[in-house]
Amino acid sequence: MDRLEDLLTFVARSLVDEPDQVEVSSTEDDSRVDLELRVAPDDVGKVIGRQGRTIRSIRTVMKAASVKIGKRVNVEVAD
Amino acid sequence: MTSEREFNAATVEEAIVRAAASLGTPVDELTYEVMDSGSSGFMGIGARDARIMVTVNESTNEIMDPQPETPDPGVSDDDHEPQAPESPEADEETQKTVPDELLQETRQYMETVVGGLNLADARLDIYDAGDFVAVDVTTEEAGLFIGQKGETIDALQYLLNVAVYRDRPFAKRIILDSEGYRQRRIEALQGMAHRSARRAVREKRMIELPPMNPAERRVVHIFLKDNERVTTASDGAGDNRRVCISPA
Repeated sequence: MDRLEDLLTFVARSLVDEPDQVEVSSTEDDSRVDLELRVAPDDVGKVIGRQGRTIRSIRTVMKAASVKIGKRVNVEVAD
Repeated sequence: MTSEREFNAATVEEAIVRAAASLGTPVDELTYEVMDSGSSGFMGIGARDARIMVTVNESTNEIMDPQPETPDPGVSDDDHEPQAPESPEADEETQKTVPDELLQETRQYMETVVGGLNLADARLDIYDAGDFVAVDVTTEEAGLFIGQKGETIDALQYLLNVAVYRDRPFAKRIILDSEGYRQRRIEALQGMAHRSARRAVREKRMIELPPMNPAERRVVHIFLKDNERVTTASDGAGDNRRVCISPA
């Protein structure tokens, strides 16, 4: 889903020091979309946040964005 | 030639007085349109400034138009305080306004996100509200934008604040609102606090409220602060932290 990938890419780029290294890939089936977020090693903490607050907020926003396509969305940070 | 200038203050009346003082036009000669009659909110949460759009007649106003780069001691501008305030915190109304580029970056961010959420007919209203920067999103799909118990609007507000203040010093909190949600939520929390306090007194036992975020817990604590029949405390950790109301 391009719209979800673009949104996740934008939100992640706004948080990190090295926006050029933000990459999002997705796999999709009938019921779910899995998004994988890849950032520079030093930026991993920035997209996760203290006690995971940032990644939790990202997941909440992506969940809202996926409502209209009727699929569950799952966001993982690659390590 | 005419142009339009926006003024905001706690009430429409104050905004009119402010516009008149700034433009050097008597109050009864101002041409304006009320854009938002404002809301007092509760303890600064959910509060929205009243805003008016004034049609400015350039020919009468040339001299009075404030020039930020070249302050002229002879001409009064927006800041009509008699002298520079000793402590900036003393009067919240005279806080420095945030730079335009912060508002622009906020707009760009929100336009992208609103597009990404695929919200129908979304309109953004972004302005410096004095105590905070207000982002009001008008959309037919406010429910989608707000989310259950505000989870989406709160998550987005958090991400927006982190992003905007990532490489500039913190100025004011950016608060997202849509279709009066913040004010409605405060009223709902106060109603819940009131009913639970009565129940705690009637049943002579501690009543636990559902988990809430810090801002929401604060609304409950403040609302019950003057109720002598109960005491409040927060208990639990992280996402599970909740207000407990006990009979005094």
